[in-house]
Amino acid sequence: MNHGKKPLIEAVLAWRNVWKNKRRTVLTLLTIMVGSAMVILFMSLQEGAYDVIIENAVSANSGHIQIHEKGFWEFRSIDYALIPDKRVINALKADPSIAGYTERVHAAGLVANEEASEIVFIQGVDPEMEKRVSSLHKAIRKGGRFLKPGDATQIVIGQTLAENLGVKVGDTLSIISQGFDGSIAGLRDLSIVGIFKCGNPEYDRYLILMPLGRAVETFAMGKYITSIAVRIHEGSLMPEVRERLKNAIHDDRLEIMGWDDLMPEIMQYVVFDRASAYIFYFVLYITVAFGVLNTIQMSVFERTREFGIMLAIGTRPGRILSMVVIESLFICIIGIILGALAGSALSYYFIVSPIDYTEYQKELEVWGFITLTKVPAKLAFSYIIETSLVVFITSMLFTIIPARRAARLKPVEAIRKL
Amino acid sequence: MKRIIPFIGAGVLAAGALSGIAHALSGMEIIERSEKAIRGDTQIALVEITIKTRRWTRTMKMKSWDNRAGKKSFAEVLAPRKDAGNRFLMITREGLMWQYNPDIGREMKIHPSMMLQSWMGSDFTNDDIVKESSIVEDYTHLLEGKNTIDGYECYRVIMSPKPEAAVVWGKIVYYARVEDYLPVRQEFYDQHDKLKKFLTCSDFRKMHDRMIPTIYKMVSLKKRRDPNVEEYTLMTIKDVVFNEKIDNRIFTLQNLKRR
Repeated sequence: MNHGKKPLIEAVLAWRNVWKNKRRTVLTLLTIMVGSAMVILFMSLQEGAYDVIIENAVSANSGHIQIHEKGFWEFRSIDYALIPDKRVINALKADPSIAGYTERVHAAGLVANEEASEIVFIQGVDPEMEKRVSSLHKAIRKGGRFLKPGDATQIVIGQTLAENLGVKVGDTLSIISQGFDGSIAGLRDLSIVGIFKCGNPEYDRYLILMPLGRAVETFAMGKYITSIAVRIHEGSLMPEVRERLKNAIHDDRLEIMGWDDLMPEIMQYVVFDRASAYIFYFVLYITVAFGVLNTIQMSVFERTREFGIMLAIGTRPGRILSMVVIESLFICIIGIILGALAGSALSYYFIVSPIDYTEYQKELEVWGFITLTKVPAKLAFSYIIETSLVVFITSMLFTIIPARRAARLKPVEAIRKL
Repeated sequence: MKRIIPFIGAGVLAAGALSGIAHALSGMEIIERSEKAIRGDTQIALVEITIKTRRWTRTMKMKSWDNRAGKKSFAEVLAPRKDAGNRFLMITREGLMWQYNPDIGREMKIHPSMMLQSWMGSDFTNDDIVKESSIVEDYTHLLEGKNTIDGYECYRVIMSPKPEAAVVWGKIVYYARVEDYLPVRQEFYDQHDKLKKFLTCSDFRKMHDRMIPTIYKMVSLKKRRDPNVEEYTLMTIKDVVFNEKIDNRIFTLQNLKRR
């Protein structure tokens, strides 16, 4: 009959004990709350930044997915080319997740003006299709324009390349390259109509865009192209879309690569950065856990005599243990809820008003592929759950030590204390 | 008769001395002799180059002028029409290479970073074309024994790059005929001792004043995609003149750019 009431009594006692020393409890709550709020905030800032880094890197030029003949990405040679046949095009058109795709011809070449000769990567593009995939057309500097349908000998080049060659909009360039058939391709009087600065030093330094039709003709491509770049509406769906395309196209001669294959350095950066963040989180979790340990330890120590009396009048040690654990449980749960609320609120603030990294762009260029301007935070329910669980488990584990100590007190000795 | 005997004696002695040298021949000497046998101090050659890939086969005709002593060379594409008039100037000592292209009407310096790229879509790299002579200076040569290659008894010389040499290969194995040191085969290995490409020399003929291999076939293994299709570059020497004085004006940017 009494069985059902036992835990209730312990819970009531625990609840009262929690508020017996308000100041200490509030301090502990604050430790838990601030700890988990900070972890949630940093996670959402960090994940938000990864999304922006990936999205910027992907949208600059490469797209989320690229299709080439097997070997192209390794050798980057015009030797590797594919015919964009019905099966490939239909697969791309049929997938609802795909925002757009663009056909390209790539070739390495040499460009020269009076003194300098520079190695360049030529990318033949269809201006309209290209706009649906890359954001280079948005990165054109003042006074220039992107390629448009009907262009033939017009080109768009990167800013660093323009500086190295000492050319500006309106000037012309000559390029030597090699055709698909091995012939020598010489291109003269290509007029620069636009100069872009996309922030990715590699593109700014090496890339030249020319109209696709002209590239196909110059490099004697016939029906061939070298790559198809694909943009997806929702970047995080890339692995699924890649799988779907692989299944739909099903051609061993082609390689269908996601941005993580195309730019493994970004994935490496994210993994490395996440790992170092986890060390920081670990330190926070341990701090919170020791805060809890300290409070519970102190409150147990203070009540040695009380526990001694309880034991002397016949309370079972197990009940004392569970009472102390329940006290800690109350503090933890309240702290975690407050922490989750505070963390979410802070994250929300940075979602609404993103951090502006524009000033630090120069420093970030050290990483090459990173371009950041405004970086909104990204809050996922999983961050809250993950943080709360870890805080809860570590805190509860650290509670066991003082709780057991309370339960093991010898009544006679305990009563004499304090 | 009396006058002939000493001659015979001298001949026997000379032969003995020669064979003595042949036995003590070092790898270095074999490579030097081999190089000397196929090249003069200068050479003017008409060459046909056939490049075969899995998709296309192309044949080009080129005329080249080489000054080995001055380490300069010049080449002009004669055929096919589309590529005719492309000219190359190479100054080996400075590692420089220029290309003149008639379509754009100007010359361009081949960027150092392009030196390891394919020369005109062939299995030769720009570096192969410019720095070919350094196999004597940039490597140590170890005579490892004899092998029979294509029916010829050949010396097998292992060439390893000297530590300070800026070369791409981890090892080159050079086969030269015992009888006249002419090269028969060269194998190019990377740092991991993996065979990357090999050159076979065949069709030994008398050209101008000497016997040389007139067909050179380079096969690259690294980019071989279809095991059923052989991809290679074939260089055939159609005509060659050795040791004729070449006007130094040939090896100038003016000559490269002339219309």
